[in-house]
Amino acid sequence: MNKTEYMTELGQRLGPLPLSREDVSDALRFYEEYFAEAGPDREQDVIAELGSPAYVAAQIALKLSSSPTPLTEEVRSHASMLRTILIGIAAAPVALPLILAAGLVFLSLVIAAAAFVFAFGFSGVVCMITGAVVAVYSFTLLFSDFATGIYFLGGGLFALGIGGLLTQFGIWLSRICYKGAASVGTRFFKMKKGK
Amino acid sequence: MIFTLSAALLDACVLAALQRGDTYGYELTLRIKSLADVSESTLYPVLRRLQKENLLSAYDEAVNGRNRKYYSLTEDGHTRLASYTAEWETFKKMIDQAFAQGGQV
Repeated sequence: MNKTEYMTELGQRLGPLPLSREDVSDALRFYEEYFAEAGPDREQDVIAELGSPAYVAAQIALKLSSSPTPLTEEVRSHASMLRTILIGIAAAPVALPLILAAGLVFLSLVIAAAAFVFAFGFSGVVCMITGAVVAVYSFTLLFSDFATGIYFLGGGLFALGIGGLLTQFGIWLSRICYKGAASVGTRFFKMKKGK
Repeated sequence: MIFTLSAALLDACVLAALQRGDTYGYELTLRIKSLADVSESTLYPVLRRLQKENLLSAYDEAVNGRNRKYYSLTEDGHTRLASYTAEWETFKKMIDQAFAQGGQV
């Protein structure tokens, strides 16, 4: 490999690195001048001293952004990302079934809550309808048989009231469950995104 | 070399080498190599970083019909070198004491 080939390869290896164009041209200029100062007869010696273009590029990539502290933020975050991935892969046999189980538990809770809400709501509505029908019907009875009429009117209104309460309760329960599910959902997805 | 140069020490050596006087990349590399056993390709990243931290400045000078980039210590560079020197004195005393007395309780 001669100097021109060396410098070409160095330029190619510096390209994909997270360096500004200024940084890249400054680096290339440094080594061009280095070769020039050493002299054309020392070309191969210089290549031997510097190491391969890959090595030089790696040195620049590693050392350019780090100050004299153990790891730069960038390298640290890459290391922790790699660690997370490896732990995830290692834990998969345990983690995946656990995640599946948690998901199923959550789903069954949702179904149970929905069932409760439906039960209250449905029975409430049925009660209200029945109560209303009975009360209306009992009005007509009032004129023929007052005692029976007033009895059923009371009963009908009572059913209407109870039904109303049940329906209200069902609506309130459904709101609580919706809010709870929403907050669990957002917290779960925020956990996934925010690292 | 049994005891290796930490990154901070290498920075200090580069700054110290320039304290003698402004110089260009190749000559600076020779200076550092005479002081410490560092690989030639280690030097440029250090130089560039110190320049970005404003401890060094660079300027061009025409020599033999081509441009040479000279490096020079800035005022911050002088200050940093002074603090490195003081740090080194403390460190040196500590190690000397460790070897001589094995520390105190």
